[in-house]
Amino acid sequence: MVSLSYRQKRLLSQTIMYAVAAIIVIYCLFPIAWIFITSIKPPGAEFHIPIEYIPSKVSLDNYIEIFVKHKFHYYLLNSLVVASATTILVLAIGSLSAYAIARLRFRFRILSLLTILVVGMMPSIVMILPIFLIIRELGLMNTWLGLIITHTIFSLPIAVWLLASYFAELPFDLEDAAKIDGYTPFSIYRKIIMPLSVPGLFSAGILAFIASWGEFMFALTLTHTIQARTALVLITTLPGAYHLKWGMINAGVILTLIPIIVIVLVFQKWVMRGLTAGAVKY
Amino acid sequence: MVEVRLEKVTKTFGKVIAVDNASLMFEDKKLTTVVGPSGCGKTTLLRMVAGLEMPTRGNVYIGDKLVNEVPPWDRNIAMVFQSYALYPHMSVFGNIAFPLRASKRPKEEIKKRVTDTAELLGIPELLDRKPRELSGGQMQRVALGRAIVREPDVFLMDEPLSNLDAKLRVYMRAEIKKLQRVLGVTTIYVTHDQAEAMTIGNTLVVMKDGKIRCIGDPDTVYSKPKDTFVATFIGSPAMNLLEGDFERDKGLFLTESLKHKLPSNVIKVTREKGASKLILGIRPEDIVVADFKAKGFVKTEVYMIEPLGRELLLSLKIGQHIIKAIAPTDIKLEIGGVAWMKFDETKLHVFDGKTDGRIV
Repeated sequence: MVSLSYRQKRLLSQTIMYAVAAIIVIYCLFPIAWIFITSIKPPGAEFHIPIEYIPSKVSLDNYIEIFVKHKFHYYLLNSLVVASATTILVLAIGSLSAYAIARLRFRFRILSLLTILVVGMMPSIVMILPIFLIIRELGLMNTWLGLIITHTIFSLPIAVWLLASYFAELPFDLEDAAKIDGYTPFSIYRKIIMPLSVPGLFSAGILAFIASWGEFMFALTLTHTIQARTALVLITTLPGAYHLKWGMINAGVILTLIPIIVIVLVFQKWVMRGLTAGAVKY
Repeated sequence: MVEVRLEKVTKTFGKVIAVDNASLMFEDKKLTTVVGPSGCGKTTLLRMVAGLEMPTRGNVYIGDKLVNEVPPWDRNIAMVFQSYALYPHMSVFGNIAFPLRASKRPKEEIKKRVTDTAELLGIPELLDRKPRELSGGQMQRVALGRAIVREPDVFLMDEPLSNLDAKLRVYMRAEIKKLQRVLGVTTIYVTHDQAEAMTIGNTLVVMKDGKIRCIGDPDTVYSKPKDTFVATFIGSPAMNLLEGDFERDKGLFLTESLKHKLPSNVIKVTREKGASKLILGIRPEDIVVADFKAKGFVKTEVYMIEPLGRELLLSLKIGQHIIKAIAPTDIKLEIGGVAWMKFDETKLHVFDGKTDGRIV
């Protein structure tokens, strides 16, 4: 047995730690890297053997094709509108109900919070038939609005829980002081609560945006044409009956990923603060 | 003329009675302190005046107006909180201007009034700062500024000095008193600190267990406490209380180890009241202590000596009684030794042993 000094032991354990972390990162990022590499190969080159891990020729033909042939920008626009509107709706409704739950003393407070939780935990497949029927009866099939309403339903519970725990941390004295300073509850909500809850609102908003952007099942069921179909759903319909254009499909995937990555990078500071706010007592 | 009047006000939270049938008037332009141990209902009382709590029963009047149903934002009052409750996302200017913005005053007027207020409080250089960049004392001043800027009918202060260190607290105490005199606004000041309550208030209200135990000017409350609770709560170190019997014929106060001849006027009143059990009260500063035997002095054992700097706080033992007394620092005593003491007969307080109420 070789006996190690404390220094060596520490070095060893750190090396192991970094190695494990590197394995996890590579494991998660490899598919994305592979998709990206495939997307920038010339069409058809993805089937070449031997496999080119680093493409010998870079081409944007796949990207051009998906825009020209499939009008991918319209689908991206659909995704963007649906996800943005969902985010705004979730924040508007979610923050008001979270404020009520966090602050008002009403009888069914706990019950309402649990009901919201149950809705949030329900597998969405259970709801697909009733929601399909409701949206159809409302005449909202294949519209932005139909999808926005549906996505809002599924993003609200987590937003309410997150914001309620955030609001609960704000001291009561601030609201009492504002009341005495001459403000009604609604203007207190607007002038005191909202500005102080920006990190919480950001994280709830980003979660809602990502969920809506990446949601597949309802988007597939409730939309079918270029008018409302989202980018993610379009990609799954790209494989044709006689040909499989992997390069173009991968280009679509990369294009769909970009907005999410940008948003997370830009707002990550806020998200981190928001996500830990409810849990940590200072 | 703005006086605040409570009429048989009761507030309950579930089964807990926070304020029990309180009736009193806070006089116009005066500073009234409400003092009591924690949980006595003094803050709840204040919050009902503010409109942050609704009385369960009874009426609250501000001026001549019944305000039970008036929400806080329509009451024209100002309140200083123990936590200061400054709005963290606004500058000092924004904080002080906030109440003025509620009433949609013109911009120039807001600017002028905020600047004037900052001058008055000596904080004009802080206007651009955020609350987190301020010290405790500065935050305190901003909170005061936010209260006075709107020229309210009533000031409410909920333990405004509790979060300051001892030295600053004494300083701000005087500042608040001065400010209140200058502005002449009816003020209700809640505190648990009896010394603060005594020094700052024109009128003192003592509360315990939701009930108002006594109302009066600080001198009277101190020199003629209404019952044993007020006697021990007001004044530090607290008044000594001795329980014993009244011997009617000779006019003696008797305990197992102490026999004290009461002054003739005390005997007379006590006889008239027909009390047989008595509680004798004497403040530590009204006891004369000597390190030699003298006429009329009682022999005691020195149980503890606590130097207070300017004087000594002695614990003297007679039988089962421990009596606190104040003595000058040059007295020659040691723990376990002998001391001689005498009560100042004119400063004796006599309470009924059954009702705790004051006799003389």
